[in-house]
Amino acid sequence: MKSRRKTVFVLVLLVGILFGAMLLSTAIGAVHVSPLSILKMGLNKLHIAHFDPSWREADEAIIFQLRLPCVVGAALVGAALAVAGSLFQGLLRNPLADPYLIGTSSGALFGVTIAMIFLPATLSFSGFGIASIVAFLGALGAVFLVYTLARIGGRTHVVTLILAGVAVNFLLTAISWFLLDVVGELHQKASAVYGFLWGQIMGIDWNQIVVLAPIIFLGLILARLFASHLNAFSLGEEGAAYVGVNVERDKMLILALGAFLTACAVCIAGLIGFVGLIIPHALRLIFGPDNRLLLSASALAGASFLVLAHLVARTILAPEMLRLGILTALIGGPVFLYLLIRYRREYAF
Amino acid sequence: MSNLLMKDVSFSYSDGFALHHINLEVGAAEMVALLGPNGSGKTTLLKLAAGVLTPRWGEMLLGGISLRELSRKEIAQRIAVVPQYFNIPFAFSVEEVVVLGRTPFIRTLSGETERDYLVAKLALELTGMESFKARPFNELSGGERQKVILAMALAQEPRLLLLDEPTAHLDINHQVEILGLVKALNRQNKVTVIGATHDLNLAALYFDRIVLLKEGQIFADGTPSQVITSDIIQQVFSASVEVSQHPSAAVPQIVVLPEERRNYES
Amino acid sequence: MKRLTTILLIIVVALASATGYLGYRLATEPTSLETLTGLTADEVATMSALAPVLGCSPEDVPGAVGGEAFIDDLGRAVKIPGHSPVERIVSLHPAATETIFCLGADGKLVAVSNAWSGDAFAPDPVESWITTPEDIDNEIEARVSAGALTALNAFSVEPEAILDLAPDVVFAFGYTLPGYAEAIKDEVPVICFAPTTLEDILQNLVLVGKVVGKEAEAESLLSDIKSDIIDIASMTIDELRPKVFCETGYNGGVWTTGEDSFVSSLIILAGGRDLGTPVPAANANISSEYILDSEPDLILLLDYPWGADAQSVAGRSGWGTIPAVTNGKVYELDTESVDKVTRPGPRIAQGLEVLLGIIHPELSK
Repeated sequence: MKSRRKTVFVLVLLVGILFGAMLLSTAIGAVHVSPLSILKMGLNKLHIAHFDPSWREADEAIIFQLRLPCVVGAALVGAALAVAGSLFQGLLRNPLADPYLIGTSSGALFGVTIAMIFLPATLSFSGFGIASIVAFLGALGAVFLVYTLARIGGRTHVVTLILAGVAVNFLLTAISWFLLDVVGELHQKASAVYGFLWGQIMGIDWNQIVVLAPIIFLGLILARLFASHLNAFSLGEEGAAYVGVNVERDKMLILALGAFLTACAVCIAGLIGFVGLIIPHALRLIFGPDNRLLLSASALAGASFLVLAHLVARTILAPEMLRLGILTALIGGPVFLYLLIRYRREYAF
Repeated sequence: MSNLLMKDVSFSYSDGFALHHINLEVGAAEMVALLGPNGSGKTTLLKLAAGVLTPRWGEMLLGGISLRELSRKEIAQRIAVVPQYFNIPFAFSVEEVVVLGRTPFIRTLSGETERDYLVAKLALELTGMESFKARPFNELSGGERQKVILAMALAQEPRLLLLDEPTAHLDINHQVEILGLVKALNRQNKVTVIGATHDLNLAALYFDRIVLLKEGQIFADGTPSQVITSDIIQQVFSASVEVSQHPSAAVPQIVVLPEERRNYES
Repeated sequence: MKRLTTILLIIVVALASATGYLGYRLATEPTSLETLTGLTADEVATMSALAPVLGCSPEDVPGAVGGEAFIDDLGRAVKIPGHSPVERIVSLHPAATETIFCLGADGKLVAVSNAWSGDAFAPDPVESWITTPEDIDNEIEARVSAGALTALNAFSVEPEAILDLAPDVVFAFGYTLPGYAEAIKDEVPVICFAPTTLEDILQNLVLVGKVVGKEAEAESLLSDIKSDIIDIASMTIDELRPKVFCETGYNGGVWTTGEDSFVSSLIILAGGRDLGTPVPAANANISSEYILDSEPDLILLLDYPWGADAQSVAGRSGWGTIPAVTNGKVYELDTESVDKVTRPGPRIAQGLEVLLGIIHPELSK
């Protein structure tokens, strides 16, 4: 089958790119550690070889305790956001949908703000700061609110969903900004909230990866299982029902899955925009709209993209760090413009 | 054994429109037309038959099994619907669209099989769209798109095919082509067909049986010769027509009488 | 397929360029300070830190009440009309408040700040003035209860409340002019302080002295501070220097003071080598990798207790390799000490003593 060969080729290529990106990102950073040393360290760690350390203990700590978890974290977050974006674009039948459309971003922001006012900063749970956990809950809570608002007589219409999402985003964002302005204690913590808003992948340790990696992987696999139903949704909700899709149930599950993946990403990385919108959008234009390929490709491409963006963000102004969300916006904006101009005709349906 | 049985079915939308006491029995391999003025309930009846709407009262049986007991997927494995159009916002190819018809048969964990692609291919051949399979669906003309939609429905290998005014917006040549295809399927593959249409003449020509709806109820049910009479047409459509015989087929055809000669009887 | 190839080619070229550029950047090390004289780099650093202190004199500070304009830290020329000295002062800059008390002009104060206005490396705003020396604290508290002094919150004060007090001058703080200052600057002279270097701090002392009519006292205070600083610097200039890192915040990356800040100068003068120096700013957010790489011997937590404590620092992933952590030399400073070190006011020499006690305990009395 020609399409099967194409699928395998594309996926192998993307896996290769991801692998290369992660290697590159581990080798380069604010502090120079020679790639040869890194290779030896890696082989030592895997017990494949036993080299005498020609490097300092600090170097090993830099690579394996500081850099590598952040690289892995970036890959997970990129994959989660890109797949969430694909899910929403397919479900809402809108190639411009992004993971934050139905309230995840403002919910997380609201959660972070509340946590900073009422909860002590030192509270943490298995490696996750209290702000992360509340951000996660806030994101899911907001989506639940949006879904409930949009549900009329047992059905949730897509347009109502988007409108409710916009409304909830406005509302929660406004409340958060209001609190930030009025509550005195928050003035000093404002920079932390800005940090969240613009997204960053810093200070991630293996405890967090160990918790997040399996659940994000699970989410990615579940998403892939919805591929053919997601394809069916492009016929419209009625059309999808005609080909046997349980529309209301699938809508709820896909929304929950997308929200869950987004919440996972947001809780450790803050709000990183454009990845969830551009990656699936661009991949669809290049490889076609078939979700069976698109979902897997989005995960891989999203991971690679964010790993490389993270690399640039932390090296371009070394030893200072550029906020990751700002960088993705700087890249995403022009890319979006380019896509718009290049593929204008295809948008005019 | 009948294919579709609607026993005393009633349904209403929240804005009040209703279907009352629909009793309809469609046998296997029958080709039935649903006629009636706008708002008489044709689309509603089709949606009930497709299992997309649930009746307030009454029973709907497909091959003896109540539709209520079947899942959406199981219904879709037996019944396929051909609506007027699909608005597909993504650049799927014709082949990809037709494969969507296999969705009710695809197992989540294994994806499409060789057979699925084979069935899709056959459906494309049956509708004469095989050569279009790599083209983007959105770039096709209206008639071509309708044939693809028909192919998609056929890919479901349905026992019952429901058509919702599938030719209303098409040129006459495409109308003839599609109806001809459907009729051939009915005759050769024994697919039961229920088709809603506006066109009385085409209905008479292609369908064996006509069910005429008026204001949510079945007004008449029989062969074209039985149902298409100037009297019945006058009662249901409030239109004056003259009924004559088709030059080659043994079916009635209506001829519209222009306004100056209308009798003002209600 | 052809389109696919083009996209792939673009990706490969982009990756290659990115790698090439990054490799180039890493290969070219930043040029280090070469000494032309026979002095070591550390001795040069001490000289550089000391020179502006030595050179600071009251003549360098322009301005006189009723005469020439004063130049504040934002570069604004502020004229104070009328006769010297001013009679009614609103001071929303705690360092200036402290200075006024030290110079004996505190009778002229009509309002002070009741919250620290958020200096770059100071802790969260506290809802009282307890961070000044205790005797000044008690004095202020007594006067406020007696109604002789008003307490204003620099963050949220209404401009009218300030004008209502009919001040002759307002001392403000901020790297940009704060909101209330913008509002009242045409009605009342506002002098805005934003000291970053040691020289700034000393010049500000003189400026405050001139405004409140205590020039002689200010000159004497200045020379006392200078001699204290010189004493300590001469003790430490030849000593072996531990590498010191100052943390003012942690968010996965670390906030620290940079080479332009007075904290950095104090560390050098106290006989340490400040690791914040590669960052060309007063304070910055840098990667933890850099900290691990520089292997500091001492870590000072300047945001304790609002920020991390020594235990949580030691527990950070990868930080266990840092000498400061393995030797237990992560210092939480108590509030008063932090104040002396980070308040850009008259106790700055005492701050230097605090640092001496940590960096070279064998030298401090």
